[in-house]
Amino acid sequence: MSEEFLRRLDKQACEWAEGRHRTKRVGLWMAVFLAVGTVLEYVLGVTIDRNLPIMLAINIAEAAAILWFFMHVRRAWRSEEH
Amino acid sequence: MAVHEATRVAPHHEEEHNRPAMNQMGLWLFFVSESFLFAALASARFYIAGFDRPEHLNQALGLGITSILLTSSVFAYLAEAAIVRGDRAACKIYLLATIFLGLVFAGGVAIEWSTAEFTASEPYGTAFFSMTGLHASHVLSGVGLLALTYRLLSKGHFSAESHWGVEASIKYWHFVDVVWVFFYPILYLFSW
Repeated sequence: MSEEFLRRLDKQACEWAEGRHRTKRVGLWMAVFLAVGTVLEYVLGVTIDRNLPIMLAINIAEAAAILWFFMHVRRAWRSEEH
Repeated sequence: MAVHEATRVAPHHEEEHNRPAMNQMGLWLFFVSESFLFAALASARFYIAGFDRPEHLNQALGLGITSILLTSSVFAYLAEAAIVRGDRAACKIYLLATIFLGLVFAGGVAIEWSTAEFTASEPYGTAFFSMTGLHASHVLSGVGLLALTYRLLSKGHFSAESHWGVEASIKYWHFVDVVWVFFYPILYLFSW
């Protein structure tokens, strides 16, 4: 096997690992964000009256995060091949 | 003749080139139309029952099933990310996890239905059973879609270059999750 081929293979493996690492980082941060948001919602919901504004704010933030990071809403206007 | 042939063939190629964008737009339009349906039920909850909710609502169960559904969404994201880089095995594992958690969520809703201290003839009960019932039916159909996707993956379908089926079914799952993000506090937590 040529050195060029091995170098290219190594580069592809690194890119693959980097992409996987980035994906898991996004997944982890989203999991933390959603968990914190849900617990905060629960605590506010059972302890505070007239909680509608803050609860709505938390809901919209969670929904926006899911739409952006998980559902890739920006792709709706792009024609990517897959 | 050759010019006529070229003209006849060209639109087909253009359609194929635009298909990913058409797929995306069609899916998002479907989500928008479903959103109107869920929004109608959510507004009906407030119209017929105001901000009232039963004293002995099972808050722990509500929090539990919400956590399960949000966790399933994380696994669904990881499944999509796996097929994007061509890792079919990881995609299948994450899909199985998503399916399992989805079924646990549906089971939790069933427990809530069977142990509820209110009935469907009460205003809050009507709203509760309608909203959770419609949402649970979407969860179950989502589970079915994901199971079909898993089966197709096992047969060798989908790849890093071509995985619209995986992406669409997972997007649907995330949509169901977003609906619950609003339904959960509307039913269990909102007060004014």
